[in-house]
Amino acid sequence: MINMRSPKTIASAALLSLISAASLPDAPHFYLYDQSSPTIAVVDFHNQGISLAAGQTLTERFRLTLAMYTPYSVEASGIKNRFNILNKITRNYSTCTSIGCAVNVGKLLNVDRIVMGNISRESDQYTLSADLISVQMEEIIRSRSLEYIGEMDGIHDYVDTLVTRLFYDELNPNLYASRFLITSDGLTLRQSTFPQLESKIDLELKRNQVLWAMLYSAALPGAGQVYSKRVVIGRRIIGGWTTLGTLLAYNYYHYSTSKKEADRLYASYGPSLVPEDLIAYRPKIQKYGRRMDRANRNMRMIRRFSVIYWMVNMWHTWQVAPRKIEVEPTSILLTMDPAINEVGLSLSFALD
Amino acid sequence: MPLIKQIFQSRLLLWFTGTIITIFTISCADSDYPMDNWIDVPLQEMEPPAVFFNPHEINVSVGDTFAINLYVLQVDSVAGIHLRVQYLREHLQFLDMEVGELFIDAYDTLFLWDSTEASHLDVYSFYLADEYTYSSGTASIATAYFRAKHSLDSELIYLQPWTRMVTPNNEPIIIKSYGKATIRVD
Repeated sequence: MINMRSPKTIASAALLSLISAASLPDAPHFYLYDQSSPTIAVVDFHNQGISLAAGQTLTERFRLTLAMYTPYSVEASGIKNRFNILNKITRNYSTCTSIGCAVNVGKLLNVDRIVMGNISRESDQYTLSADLISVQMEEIIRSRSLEYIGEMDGIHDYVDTLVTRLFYDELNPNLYASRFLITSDGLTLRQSTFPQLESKIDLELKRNQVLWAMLYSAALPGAGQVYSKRVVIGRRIIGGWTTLGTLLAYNYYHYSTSKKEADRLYASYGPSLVPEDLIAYRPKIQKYGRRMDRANRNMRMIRRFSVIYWMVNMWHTWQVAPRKIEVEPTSILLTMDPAINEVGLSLSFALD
Repeated sequence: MPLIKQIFQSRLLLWFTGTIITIFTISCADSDYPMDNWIDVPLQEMEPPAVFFNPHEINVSVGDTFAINLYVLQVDSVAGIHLRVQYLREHLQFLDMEVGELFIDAYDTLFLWDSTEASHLDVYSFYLADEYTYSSGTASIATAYFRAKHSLDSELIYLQPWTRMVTPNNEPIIIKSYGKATIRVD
């Protein structure tokens, strides 16, 4: 049985699809990406439960697959380069577990994006995860993870799958082409070419992420940003909202305690006929009344500011919510016209 | 799965309700405690130290007996008081006087009154003071009892300058406000 997840199989299927037509140009000409490809680096994956050498090998596999199937120009793809660059300062950047560390590496290497990953093992269960980080924005663009149960030998295919999951939108169009078959009825979709790829990610893309990000932000400002993988700014917004809530609660507490005291004193003041008591009650009631008014003024101010905060947060969520395609692809499809028995290429270019 | 069902399942609606309540519906009313106790209203217009009557308005019928307190307002370090109260003998009959509470904690307190004069009533209250014995605050000096003789309204007034207060050193305390009482007889 053919392992459909193998990169060799993927490449073979793509090549077979292309050369099956009579008048197809050479395969390399199908790469119509912009020459100024974005640069990316991959720091060594953080390992738990596997050896350092195994972790580095898997990281190299990740880099190789990334270089083969995405339009990125992969930097620091060798240990030598990495150490040559990083030896300038006495810090260990061989692996990173924090965004700050990854961003620092990205800046040192002068790349646009950086990948930080983790491979953990518990008996025969492996968990692979990777975060794609924007060096300029200093935040996670997207994260993917998957689990694998089996021997160490079979994990390489899952590393490839992790690449395709993380860079779904930027995959080599030959892979798109490999998903189509030329039949007598025309172009049809090849079934289950990437079962792991299609099973979950297609569902994710079908979900309206903008709407859900907006809903989350409407319910809790900042949650939409976290949903959109803008974790740093999302947490700050949540922190700000929590601070406003705390201030509101503090003032409401003062308001309610002052009101309780004022009501109690006023209940005694109203029917009293003793001047000594009236003289004593009056300033206290007025004091608690002033406290109530001050707390109420503060609450009104905080409420108005909260409305503005919420509206700005909704606007920001709209701005950062993930749209379906981050990198506008250039697509290549195989076409067939059975009437004239010709096969050709249909090209489309992203205009912006 | 319909969107509404997903929203319910993710408890977003609960969070959203909490946010809306926090922002828009937590509103409180400003304080509203009018100082309109009828006894207190004239007191608010007086500047202490002052002398006044409590109650300041009395409604009685002909022949009724009523009591009225002679009060001092927010006095400080007073050891002796003389109050001269003017009233109309034709309308009101003075019956009796009781000592008040201002000097109630003091030792050797003297309390005297004189109603023999035609047009006024004198009340004296003092104690043998030393530098440590004095009273402060708001309290009654005495309680006077009257009977209404005719169905004519009348007033009780503190006469100046005979109404006065002194400190333990016999220094005069300046009285800044003088109250009055109105007796309405049906």
